[in-house]
Amino acid sequence: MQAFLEYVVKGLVQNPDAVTLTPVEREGTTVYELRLHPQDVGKIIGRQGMTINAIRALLLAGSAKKGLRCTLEIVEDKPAH
Amino acid sequence: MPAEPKVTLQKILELLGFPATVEEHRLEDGLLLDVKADDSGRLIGRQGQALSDLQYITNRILFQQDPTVPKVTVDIGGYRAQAREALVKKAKEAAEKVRRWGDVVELEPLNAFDRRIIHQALKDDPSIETHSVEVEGTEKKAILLRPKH
Repeated sequence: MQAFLEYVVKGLVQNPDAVTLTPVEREGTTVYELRLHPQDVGKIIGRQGMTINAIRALLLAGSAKKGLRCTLEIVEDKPAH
Repeated sequence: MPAEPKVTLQKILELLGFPATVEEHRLEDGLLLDVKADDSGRLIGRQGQALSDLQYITNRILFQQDPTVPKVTVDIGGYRAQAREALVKKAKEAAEKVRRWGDVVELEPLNAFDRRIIHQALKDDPSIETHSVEVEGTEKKAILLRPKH
């Protein structure tokens, strides 16, 4: 599922080189933590969450077919100070 | 970078785990990409929701590749054509009810794409008027059918 998420997210942003996806296992579910260039966060969320929800719905369809449980979360790292 | 609608959709589907063949058809107002895949039910989703999501994401990615690219419509195994027929049938039945009883009939909330099909189906009916009204708690609107005087 990581390859799917990478392709879609990188295809949607201005700064594909700043995209990182980290899979984290949590109670049988793979949570993909997505980090983006700050300018691209709004783009991936979309109007009223439309874009991120569409990506999540497709992720759900694809992972269900493979018998997996996956979710996608955007992580915004706070500047350290 | 020129946009490649067919290749892009095929790539998304392959990475999602739905190997598919995609046929490209030119329409007056854009491009139709018709998907043939196993397990297409999952890709269509409840009331075609997953299909709408797939179409939305495909269009967003293509727009990022080339902002001038015409919009693509994604269909899976003729689902949209069938769904369209079902909506037209529903519209005609509701119109018949209005004619018979003279009351206003309200259809369930629909998205803009589906509402357009209903409005179009009844626009030449001399006895029926159609209006969309807002529905609380959803972006979808309900269509009211009423007798035209």
